[in-house]
Amino acid sequence: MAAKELPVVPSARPGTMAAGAAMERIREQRPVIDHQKCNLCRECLLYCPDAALAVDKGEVRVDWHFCKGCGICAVECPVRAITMVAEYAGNRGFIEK
Amino acid sequence: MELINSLADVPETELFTGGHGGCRGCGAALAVRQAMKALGPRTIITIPASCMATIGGSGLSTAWEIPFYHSLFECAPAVASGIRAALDIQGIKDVNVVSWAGDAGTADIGFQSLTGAAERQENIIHVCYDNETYMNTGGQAGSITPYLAVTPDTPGGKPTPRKDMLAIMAAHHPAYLATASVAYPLDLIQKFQKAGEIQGFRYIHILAPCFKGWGIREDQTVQLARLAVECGLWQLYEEIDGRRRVTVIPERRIPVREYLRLQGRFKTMDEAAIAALQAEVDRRFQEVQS
Ligand code: SF4
Ligand code: SF4
Ligand code: SF4
Repeated sequence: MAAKELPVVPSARPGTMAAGAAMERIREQRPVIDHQKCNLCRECLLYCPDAALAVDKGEVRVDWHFCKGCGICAVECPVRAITMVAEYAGNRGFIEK
Repeated sequence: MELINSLADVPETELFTGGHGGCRGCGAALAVRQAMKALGPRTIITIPASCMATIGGSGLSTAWEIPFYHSLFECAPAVASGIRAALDIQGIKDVNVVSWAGDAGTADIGFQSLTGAAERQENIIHVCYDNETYMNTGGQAGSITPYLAVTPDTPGGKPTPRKDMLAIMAAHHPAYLATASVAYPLDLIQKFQKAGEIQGFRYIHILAPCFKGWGIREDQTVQLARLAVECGLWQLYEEIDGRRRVTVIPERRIPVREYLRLQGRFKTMDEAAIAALQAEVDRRFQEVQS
């Protein structure tokens, strides 16, 4: 068989990691957006390494399956509309008997 | 071609999606995400061994929405040359063929195939996403790791300066050459748009910090990339047919000390070494800006 007649066999379907993403399991803190302060400048959108931010119906929204809680968006927002809060706010340390 | 001039005009489609396996705050993933906004869906990318190759998926799942080929360490530009040849034979012209490698896959292990592809004037774009260390294998020092940076195999600081990869690539007379930074996404996107329009060998070198290798916090990736530009260590320019144009003149200039002192990897650098680096940066800044 000539090489060009071999079938193309992709090993994985496009975007399958997005479908299976579950970053809530590794996130230690999460961004909370103050929509009153946010002026929709869209800077945070292009600084998120995980494509977790988008403007939806006039507001910046976080996709919780993608956000790893790195905090870059909070540092880069020019009007400080984003604050990072701990994902887990319960007791610290070991669990008592 | 209309250059993307505002954040509102950046396409929303994610061709490198969320859910990838990069660390929190990964500068490499950020560079790819930004670049794909300009390269678009008619792109075939090949990436050699590196963080960027592994975080985009395994054989079972992938974060890419475009054809992505994980090559061996030495040969991404050679594989890209082959992909271009195959497209040419089929008469397909509107595809960006990109080899995308880290600093190791570009300047060291991948250099022989890169210099070969550049010398043959292959019609491809080679991108170096530069985090200045071999992050995927544990952070070892390479030839473009900065002078005095502490890495697992240079615990006292790297004893030799970073080699000038941009001068080396400029000496190949590429059709297009540019530096970019993840802290200046519009500048980066415009450079990829321009590169996509040009035929011939194109080289783009992106400074993409890695918090692990640099000894910074995860949320400082973009901040450090910006400080590198503001202190003059990383200058943003492009060269078309060898003619240089500075694309970003930083609004403020800061001393290199401010940039270095935020990073754990320069903790052994003393004031004399910083002063010497400052003098070198000032000289180089003059040279590029004039
Ligand atoms: S915390 Fe990080 S991952 Fe989450 S939305 Fe902000 S920049 Fe993206
Ligand atoms: S950077 Fe801040 S102000 Fe701009 S869109 Fe994001 S949250 Fe809103
Ligand atoms: S080690 Fe660095 S470059 Fe590699 S995935 Fe993690 S943050 Fe990204």
